[in-house]
Amino acid sequence: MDESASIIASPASEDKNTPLRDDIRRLGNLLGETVRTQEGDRIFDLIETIRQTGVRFHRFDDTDARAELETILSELTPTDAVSVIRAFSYFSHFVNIAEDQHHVRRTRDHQISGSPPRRGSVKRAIDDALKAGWSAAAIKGFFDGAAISPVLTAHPTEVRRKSMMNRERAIADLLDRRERTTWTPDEIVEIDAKLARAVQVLWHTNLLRQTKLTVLDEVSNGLSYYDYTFFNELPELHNRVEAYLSKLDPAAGASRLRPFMRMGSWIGGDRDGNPLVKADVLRQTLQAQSAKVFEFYLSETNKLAQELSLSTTMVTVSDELRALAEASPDMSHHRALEPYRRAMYLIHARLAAAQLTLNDKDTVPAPVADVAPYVSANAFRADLQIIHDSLVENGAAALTEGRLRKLRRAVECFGFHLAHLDLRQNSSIHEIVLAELFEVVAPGTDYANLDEDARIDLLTAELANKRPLVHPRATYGETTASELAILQSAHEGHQRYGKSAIVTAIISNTEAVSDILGPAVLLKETGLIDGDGNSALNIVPLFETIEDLRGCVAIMERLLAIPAYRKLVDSRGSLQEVMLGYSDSNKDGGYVTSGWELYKAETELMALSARTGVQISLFHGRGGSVGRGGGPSYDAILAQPMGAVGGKLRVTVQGETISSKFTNAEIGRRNLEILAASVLEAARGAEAARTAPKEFTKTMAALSEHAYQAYRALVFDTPNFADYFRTGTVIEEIAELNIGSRPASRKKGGRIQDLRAIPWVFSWAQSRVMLPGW
Amino acid sequence: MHKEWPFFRTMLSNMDMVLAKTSLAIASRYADLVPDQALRNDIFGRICAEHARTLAALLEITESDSLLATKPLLSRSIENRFPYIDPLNHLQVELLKAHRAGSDDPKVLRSLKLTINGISAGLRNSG
Repeated sequence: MDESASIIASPASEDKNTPLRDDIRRLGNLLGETVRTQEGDRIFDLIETIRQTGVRFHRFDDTDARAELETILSELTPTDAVSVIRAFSYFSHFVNIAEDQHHVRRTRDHQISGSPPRRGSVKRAIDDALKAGWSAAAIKGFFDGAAISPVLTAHPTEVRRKSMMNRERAIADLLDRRERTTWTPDEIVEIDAKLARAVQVLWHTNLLRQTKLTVLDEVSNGLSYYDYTFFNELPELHNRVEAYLSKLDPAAGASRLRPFMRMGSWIGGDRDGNPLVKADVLRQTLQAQSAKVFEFYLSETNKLAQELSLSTTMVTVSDELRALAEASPDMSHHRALEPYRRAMYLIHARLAAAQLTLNDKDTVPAPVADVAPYVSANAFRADLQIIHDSLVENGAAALTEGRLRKLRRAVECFGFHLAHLDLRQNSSIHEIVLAELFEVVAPGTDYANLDEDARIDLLTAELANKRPLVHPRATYGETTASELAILQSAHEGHQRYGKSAIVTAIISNTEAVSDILGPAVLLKETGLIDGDGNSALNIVPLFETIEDLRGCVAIMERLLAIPAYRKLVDSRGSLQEVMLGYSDSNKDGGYVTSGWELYKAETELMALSARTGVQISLFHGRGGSVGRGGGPSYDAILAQPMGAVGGKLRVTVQGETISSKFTNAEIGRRNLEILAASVLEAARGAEAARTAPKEFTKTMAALSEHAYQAYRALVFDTPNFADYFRTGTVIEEIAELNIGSRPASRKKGGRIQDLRAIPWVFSWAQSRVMLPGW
Repeated sequence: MHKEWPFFRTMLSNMDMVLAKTSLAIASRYADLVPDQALRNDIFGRICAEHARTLAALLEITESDSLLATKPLLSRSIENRFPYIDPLNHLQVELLKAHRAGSDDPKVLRSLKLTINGISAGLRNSG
């Protein structure tokens, strides 16, 4: 498919974009050739005709073209339709690959030409902070206290397959390699042949999943991104920041930079509207996560063992290292004089033992012998520290760079649990559980019909009560039993993998104080809040509707005034995280109103934070739109008053966004870097974000009111709007097909209110209306 | 307000990007799938009118002549792709008709899924 210049070249086209056009043309041609040889000339010509007509229609708004296009398309046979759709789909994928490559290319060009660091880079953010008067030490202190967490969530309409993505990664790699080095003509021919073969394989690979996705499949998909990007780039980012700060001020580099970025996940812990997430799924998810990180550690320690071939005939080592080497089960006489190797093999063996004990997984290649497992990531880290110290003390500091440095940082970031898994459940489910629990031991409680004040009294008393609410010999209904089992599983997860494995319990659809106290009671019942009122989890309300956004500050104020709850918050370091639902409030009130209500809620939460002495931070349920090749990706978040409070930023990254941001390691690196840069920038500009002149806020309030009325009138007050939505978009078909593991609606019935926000947005996007976006 | 208030600026900026991916011409074909003609005309008519008002207001406030005036890279990115997404939308509409008419040809279902995937890939980061 020859990408004719007329599409891409605009009157002001620049030379620097020629490589992008070339890549698109190259991949397009390969695709065209594959289609021609595999499907025949007829199909090829058909696709070309459709493509060219489509171009005419799009670029010139040509009504003849539109009619032609419609005729051709409506006459396509089902078989031909499949080929046409696949061709166009893969072409879009290729444009994505080419654009990513171009992004990487431009970034490298800038670096090679010695341009100053670009916006969105950590270097630039640090430089700007220095210019604004911050010292390097202050910047380091800032990062030490920062906590940034991208939280992966499964997009309920995720359709991409791993096999297809792997084939496309191979193509992206070849494209990159092709231009990165100077090749001989023969070598270029070889690479191009490889590219052609990769395209052909891709053409014959199923784009779509043929079987239904389970939650554990989604977990597994999420885990691939650690191999693609996170395992390497997360530690790398830390090391780069540390190195840059050291360079600016050696004193700042004297003490080790604490880890400021860790991964989070909802996949396997989010039960809201997903009845498939049960106790055993949670357990298996924790296990899969842990097994994944162990695989990485085992692979890296194995490689380190091979690399550190230093011999005692030439170097000295520390006493601690010698002790490790002597404790090593490595009996090979070839390595008798290679203490680092012996030590690494011991470490490797201890990891393998831990992998077996914790996750019931064998290691290949097998460890040199069976030894006692590591009981914590700290123990593993301590042994790596011995290796590091010994090298430094014996003239080999240079050898601590590279793999060892990255591994030491990785252990700090990933532990044995890999990522913080969040729990999430809907407040209405908690209500059902509590109602049943109370009814069994105190019949007549009738929890469901108690008013809010009565509930608060009841729950507060329950929190302070040391005897259990759950009756050991009672049989509970399915919902209650399942919820208790999940929390129990979480408790066990803590015991097995440490408290970092699960840190947060989110309550979606929070409408009242009791919605937050209730789950606290359940945590107490399952040991996640101990007898002294210390909580092992952050309890995080998610306010979703416009009404709830408007009422959230009053709820939080009342909640924090309850001593029993305040005690829980204090046990978490006087930190209270709050989640404000962007997508859901958007569906509820429209784009402008939800944006405005979020802004207002945040401003008021900041004031509440100051009043109560509790640091309130925000969990952003929206990844923010990507600003490609330019400013920070999280402009929208940072423009909010609570964008990143005190260096803390938690933000969800949904299915399709995960793949576009983190499949390519260099793009992934940039996206992680943008997060770190954004947080620093937010800290500098925090004041500006929080204050606005009165006339602005007044105007905004008026705008919002008009917008709200118009939106509600259309979506909720128009009779049969739901029917319009149902028949005029693909929403029903999404629900029908094998897309994601979760139902599209929380409840059956087809009301807009019950529909999950993401399929709502997705369906409007598919029909090109984009209603939620404006 | 637009120049000085980051909050408002980014609200409009995000809207700008979304509007650039909107196509009422394509959307009208989806509207045609709604069996109740009166309902269809009413709602789609209102959507179109609101869209026009929104677009005009956005351009006036940002003092621009066109969408994505300050984002040439994104604009080009969309230019690259849309000729390939539009045919998929047209096809999706045809396939929805066939599917809803009760076709049991497995290719129809498969093609429908493929269009969902294809449009998604083309729109990239739309939501």
